[in-house]
Amino acid sequence: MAYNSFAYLVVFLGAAFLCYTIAPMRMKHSVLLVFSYLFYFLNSRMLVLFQLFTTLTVYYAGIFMNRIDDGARLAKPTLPAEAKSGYRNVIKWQKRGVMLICVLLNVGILVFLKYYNFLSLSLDALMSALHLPTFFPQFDWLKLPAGISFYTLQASGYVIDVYRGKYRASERLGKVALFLVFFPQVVEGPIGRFDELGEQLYEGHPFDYKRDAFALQLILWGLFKKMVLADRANPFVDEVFGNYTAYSGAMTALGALVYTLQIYADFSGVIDIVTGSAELFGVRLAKNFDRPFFSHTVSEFWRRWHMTLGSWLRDYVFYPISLSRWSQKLGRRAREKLGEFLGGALTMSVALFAVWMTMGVWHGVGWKYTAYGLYYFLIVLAGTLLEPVNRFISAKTGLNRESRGFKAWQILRTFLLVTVGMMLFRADTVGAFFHMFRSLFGGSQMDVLLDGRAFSHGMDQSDLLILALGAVLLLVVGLLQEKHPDLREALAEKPTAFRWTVYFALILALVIFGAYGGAYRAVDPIYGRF
Amino acid sequence: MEPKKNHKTWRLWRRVLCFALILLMLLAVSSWALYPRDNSADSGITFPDARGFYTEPENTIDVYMVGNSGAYAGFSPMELWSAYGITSYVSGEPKQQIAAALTLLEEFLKRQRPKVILFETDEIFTGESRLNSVIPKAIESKLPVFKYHNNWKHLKLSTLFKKPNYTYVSPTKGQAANKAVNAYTGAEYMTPTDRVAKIPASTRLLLNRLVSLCREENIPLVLVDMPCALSWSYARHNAVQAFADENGLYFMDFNTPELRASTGFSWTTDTYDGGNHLNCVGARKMTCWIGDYLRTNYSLTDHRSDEALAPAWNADLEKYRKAYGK
Amino acid sequence: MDKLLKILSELKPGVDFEHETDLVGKGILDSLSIVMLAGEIADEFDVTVSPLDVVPENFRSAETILALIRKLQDE
Repeated sequence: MAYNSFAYLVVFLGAAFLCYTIAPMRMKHSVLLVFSYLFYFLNSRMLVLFQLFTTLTVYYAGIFMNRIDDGARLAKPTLPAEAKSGYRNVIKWQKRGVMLICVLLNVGILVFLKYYNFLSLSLDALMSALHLPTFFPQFDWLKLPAGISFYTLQASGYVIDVYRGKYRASERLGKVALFLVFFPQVVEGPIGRFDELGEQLYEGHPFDYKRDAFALQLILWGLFKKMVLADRANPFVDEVFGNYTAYSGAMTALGALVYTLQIYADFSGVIDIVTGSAELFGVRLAKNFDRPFFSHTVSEFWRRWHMTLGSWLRDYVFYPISLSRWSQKLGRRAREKLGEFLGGALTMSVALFAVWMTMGVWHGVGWKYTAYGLYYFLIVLAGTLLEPVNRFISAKTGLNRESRGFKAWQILRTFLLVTVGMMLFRADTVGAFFHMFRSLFGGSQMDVLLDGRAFSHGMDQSDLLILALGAVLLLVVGLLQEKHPDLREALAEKPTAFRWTVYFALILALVIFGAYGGAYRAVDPIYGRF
Repeated sequence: MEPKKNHKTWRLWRRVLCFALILLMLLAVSSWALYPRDNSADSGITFPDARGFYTEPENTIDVYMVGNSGAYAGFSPMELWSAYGITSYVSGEPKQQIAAALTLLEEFLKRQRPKVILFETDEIFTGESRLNSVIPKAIESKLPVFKYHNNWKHLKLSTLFKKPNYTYVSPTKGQAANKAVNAYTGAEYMTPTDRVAKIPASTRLLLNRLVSLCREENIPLVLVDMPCALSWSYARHNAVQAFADENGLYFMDFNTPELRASTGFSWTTDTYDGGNHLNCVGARKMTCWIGDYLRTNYSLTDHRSDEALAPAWNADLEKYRKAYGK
Repeated sequence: MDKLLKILSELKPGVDFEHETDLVGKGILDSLSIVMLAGEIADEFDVTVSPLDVVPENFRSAETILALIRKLQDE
């Protein structure tokens, strides 16, 4: 059941909202739980067992760690002083064992289901290259439970937080279960944290007209982005990336740009729909997009695009690695040998490498995704290493790095780097990407664009007009958000005539310009097959 | 506090109602604006051949078939004319849904008084008869903007305030003829069985509606299934036969071995895409059998001596023969 | 405090760490610089910075960083 389908929006969400509203306060979370499992079952059938498995292992790992802590607290006062730190270590290792088993088990399941076929195929290829017999069977029946890449991270975060002592594990199984299976976020995030989400989900929220009106507005906006912009862009993108040898220069560039628009409108649109869905129940999901294309650097971009993934990687991959003892030791020696700056930067790059590689392979199965992570790693690394060089140059040339012009250049540069990255992400293979990239500088195909031949490949002039206007609208909304961070509040203060005009305009635009119906193929959300 | 709270709730509902009414009005206006003013492709009609009947002179078509691609490939109004002088039209759309077939039939009946209606039954089992389609389709019929919204690309100020002016004519009367031969070499797909395929509940509702519509109009309905090796089965045959028996309808299933023998059908020569659709040779065989059945069981006029109709139909027949041969 | 200010200004020259109170919010300290800072602090003040400590609240200003260092020294 796709988030942008009639079945979900009207039937399922409507029923869930109705039941939630009329249920008594203490039963509201049960309503959410029931509907969430129903939603999951409708999407993945028997694979819901994997969800349940993760829920149970994570819950009991948490309980186990709680018991260890409780035992330790009782035992500590009775110990002699010298034994105290040794005992603390034992406790830490016990908890670490529980946490590791739980996390490795669940991540292992994710890795197996998602990557086994690819890894075994690659290993077999390696073996036959070395003239060894191929070893690994292929399991074609391996299927992915919905959102497994997302909820596994969310579950691991919970267990690691409990291990670190950030908060005690929840004694309520229902709370943990709802945290992992809550239907608006289970398929494509945002990736939530238990201390932010757990309580919110569990406590009931009474009906609130203003909140629910805001929620519907957000859903409308997300639907607009997905159905009018993203899905309309899809046929052309399919054509240019599917038939990439036939295109070059202006056509390939147009395809890449349209794809960047598509993936942004698709992902942020669906996120808006699910955030609005959650808001109907009084639950605030974490922010996932913060006008990413206004970023000045690629690092900043990844702090504003798919924000919950970025912060998850930062808190559970980057910091643990870079703050670990061996990394600190390495850093000290590197700084001694190579100087403050270089030593520090190179030590960092180890942790950075881990983060970007994880980010790359998390996005999909195949060498292309490894290349995707590597691409951004190299850019960020280069950025860090060149920092003093840049400062030197600007000091010498008197370039003002704070000027509007320079900032504009930074935004443009980031946008181009990201578009190239998206091109890699969408290309069939790494080879296809390189072909497409090189062809950007080959035949310009400007003539194809100008004489109209470009407009018979899945996108005609009116389609391009809609997409261009849509991009401008997104830009305007982004700029408005700079002045009014909460645009819905600002809108609520305007007179009714103005507000209702905006709503009607959006609804009509959705109905008339939405890419649905006989002439269009339904497009699955890009991040929905995780 | 009580009266104040009630007043607030009432104000709330009033706003919601107001919003909904204005929205409905806007949707109605856009429905009117975007409704196709012509039955041709550049007015927003995706499959003009299915709607070519708008340009046929009123009350001249005696036999009407509606169905999916099986219908427009397998039934040949030109062959029917050539062999029996019966005038017919076939409205087929690829992947047609029964709701759409009903709409087409209703539109057809506004302009024609056919003597027999033929319904191609393949789409009973390939329909999208779940939640995502039944209710939306119902809304679509009341607010056509959801169906024709894409017409904004073909919006022309010149035709906006005029009544529809239909210009598209289908010389083959809806048939999508194909000369190519691409044999079906697969296994036998009609092995007799007692199993009965399931007709989804919402499809059954629509089928009942079809039956009652034909009864109301007093026009006999006949169920037809064109040979299709890729989507038909004996279980489906049983299901449709049961439905036909319940409603006293005749069901001619050209997939059955008996009818295949009767029509002289051959999977080697009569399909152009390896078993999915019939070519014009296959269409001729089916149509001739249908014509013979209709002539025997219903009083249909042979219009070949009708000076008003015959010249136009003969001219179309000549074009057909030139393009697709004897 | 002076030692800390020296470390900070070496890490990010040109910033007024004495008075700035929104280091993370303004993007002066990002995750990379926080990690570098953590390394230097660990060296200089002989403390261990764990991922739990690396929250925006602790690095908002030189004062809050100093408070964190003191807290870690007490453990």
